[in-house]
Amino acid sequence: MSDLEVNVTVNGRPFRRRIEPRLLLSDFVRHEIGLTGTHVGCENGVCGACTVLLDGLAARSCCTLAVQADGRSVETVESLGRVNNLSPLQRGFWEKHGLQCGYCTPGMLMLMTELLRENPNPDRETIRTRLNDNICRCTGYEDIVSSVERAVELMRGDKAVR
Amino acid sequence: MAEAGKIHSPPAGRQKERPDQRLSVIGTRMLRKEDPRFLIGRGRFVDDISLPHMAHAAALRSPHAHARIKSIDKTAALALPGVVAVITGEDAAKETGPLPCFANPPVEQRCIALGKVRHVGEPVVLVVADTRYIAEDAIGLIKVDYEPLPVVSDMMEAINSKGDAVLHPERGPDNIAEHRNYLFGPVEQEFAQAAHVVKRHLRWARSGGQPIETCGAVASFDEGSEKFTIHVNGSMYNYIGFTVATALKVASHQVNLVPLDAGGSFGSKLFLHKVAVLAALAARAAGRPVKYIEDRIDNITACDNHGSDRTYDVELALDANHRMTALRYKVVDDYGAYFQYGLGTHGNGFSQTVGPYKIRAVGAEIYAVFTNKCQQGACRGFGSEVTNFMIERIVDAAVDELNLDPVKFRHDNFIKPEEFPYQIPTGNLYDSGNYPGALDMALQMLDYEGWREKQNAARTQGRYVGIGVASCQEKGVFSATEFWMLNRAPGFALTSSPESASIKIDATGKAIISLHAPCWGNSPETVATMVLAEQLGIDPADVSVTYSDTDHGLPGTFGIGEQAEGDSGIGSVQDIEQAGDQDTLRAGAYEFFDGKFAELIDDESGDGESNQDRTPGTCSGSGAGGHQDFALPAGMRPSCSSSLSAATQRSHSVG
Repeated sequence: MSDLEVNVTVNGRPFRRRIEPRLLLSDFVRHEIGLTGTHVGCENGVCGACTVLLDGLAARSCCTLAVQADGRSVETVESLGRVNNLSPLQRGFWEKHGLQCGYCTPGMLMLMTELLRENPNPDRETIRTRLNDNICRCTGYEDIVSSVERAVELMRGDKAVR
Repeated sequence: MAEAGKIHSPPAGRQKERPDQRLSVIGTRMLRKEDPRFLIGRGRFVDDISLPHMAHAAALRSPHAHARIKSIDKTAALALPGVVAVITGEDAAKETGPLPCFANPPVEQRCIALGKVRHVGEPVVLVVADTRYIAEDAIGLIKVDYEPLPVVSDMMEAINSKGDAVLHPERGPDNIAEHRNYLFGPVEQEFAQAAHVVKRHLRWARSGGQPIETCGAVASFDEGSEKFTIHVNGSMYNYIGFTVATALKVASHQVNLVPLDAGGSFGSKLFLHKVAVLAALAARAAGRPVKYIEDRIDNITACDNHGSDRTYDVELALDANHRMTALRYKVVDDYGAYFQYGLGTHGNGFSQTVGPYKIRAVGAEIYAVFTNKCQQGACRGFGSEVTNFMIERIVDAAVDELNLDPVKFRHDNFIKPEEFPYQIPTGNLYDSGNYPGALDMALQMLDYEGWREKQNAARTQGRYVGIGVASCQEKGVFSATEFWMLNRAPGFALTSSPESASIKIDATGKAIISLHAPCWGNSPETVATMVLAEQLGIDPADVSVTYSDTDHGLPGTFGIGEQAEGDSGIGSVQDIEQAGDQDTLRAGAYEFFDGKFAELIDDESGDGESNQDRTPGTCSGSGAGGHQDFALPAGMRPSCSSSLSAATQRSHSVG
């Protein structure tokens, strides 16, 4: 298997790498680019911990080949806010206990980033339905749903709401 | 054994806070200290560790439940470019001893199967290569010749296994790992006098904890110091980490275990010796660091995430007033192929074996059997959940048979709030509780009476609504002493379950708490920060929390669940501080701080002595059922160093 050259934009920055055609996108992001926020859970497309946005759409990076991202844009959890400037979604998760061990969290955040871009005002049922895609083993999901609701409030600037 | 309800030696409480006390930090709403790093994708999980020149390992796992390994051909695998080492069970046996086992006599288990495989998924060959991809390619090139053996998959069948169906013939001619009778209180007498005896046959099926992150380790071996460094996402690393050294045939000081954030555990990462030993074995063989992380199939088929798997024959004795008097049961527990924790889950059960009820005597006949399944690990309640299931099923059976009210029956049999501390027949001391209050509150929250009315109304329409009541008492901590009771002779070197933490305060008034147990999704950093900030009167933002490796941490058991937040390192933080006005911490702080903080310390000491004469330094100690704080040797003077550390351990005595 000869290596192939790929050009992938990750979080707005262009990367050119020569890679094996079989390299998974999750391994590309984690080990070629060094962005370890994207986690690998089931390696089978079930748990969603590895969710990234590929050209804006949520994708299982553990079931996607890195060569499939050639010429495309990848967004990972590292594209969201930083510790001193968390995004409304991250802030919502922090305030409403949307995480415990933090392993599924990056995938949850990216999945919900996609949702909030297409629907900035989802109701609780819509959030729950979309969360079906990913697995969390700590929280029991209720707090994650509340976290996303809180993010919606923050995005509206309705900061008085608790 | 102990007489139920009789108190032998209840430990004196050391709590200084009053329930109604207003505290400035504890009890306030503080956002979790752990969260920001996880929210930006900067947790430190095992696959995030990358060491220079690191190789990667993958395991070839048995497709057979029970088979002899006749031969292994690794030629083609070794010839594959990028392959560094191919390690069979025979190779591994030259470098490693058996894996740790708490049972006595131990059951031999190897990190790579030696001679026989005893369950699907048992490792047969470990391959080390430049990349995980190449390691998995090489696995496909290995040829193993197996001779299948009879497979035992049923626990009752296992009791009568003979010949080749016996998993560990060197241990005896059958598949009974352990058969014990335990009697606590006058069981026979209570049954002889009983007005009613209720009997049931119960089945509790195997389940498994499934964290999203599998188990893994990154190991390196330093030839110069002859020492392993192993990053591992297990939790008991500071408690029984030394047993990993034994498996690697080195002394305990030659292994440093470094904790990591764990992506969930649910018990399954309690004691990760397999991945640590495999990675370390591979690192020594390869002469370079090695990462070994289970894939999901590795984890499901061979990790320690499988829980209890039992059948019970239970009998409950009641008097004429429908008060429960005695409980006895025969239980057969399918342990799978090995016996790493011995009867540990039954010991946990014994610590709460009467649940929240006044039952005067308990008898247990336990069969632990081997079958060709993955061995049991420490899943969730580790025996608590299945014990509660057994108790509540037999309680409901009594309610059904005697046509009683499930709520009133429980109320009548509860240990009452004024009866605490209460010693149960197995000797465990329940410190406090309000079972009637808790049950009533739950019934009120759920509108139990309303639902009973709806149930009756629905039934007139031909619809059936089921309503169940369960009242469970679950222990919050663990004591190693149970292994002394469970084994015929003590087979476990540890006698208590210490927890510890260290605190360092620098010249600028900032504090670092080092916890000696890891983070696995609980909130140890948040709680420890709140406790220290409260006690020292400093801003929580001036506290950071880190985790000590085994080279630097004092013993810490594991910080599981309630133990983490009620007692473990966090309790130790408070102990260290409370030791302060008698020995080190505040005195030390006095040396280094000025203004408000120094005044606070001065105000609080109140022992008539000048804190300035105190000696900062290090203190540590432990004791069963309490803690001791060791003072520094007399004459030792404060150094110019602008730091101070203090540590204390505490131990639990449960059961």
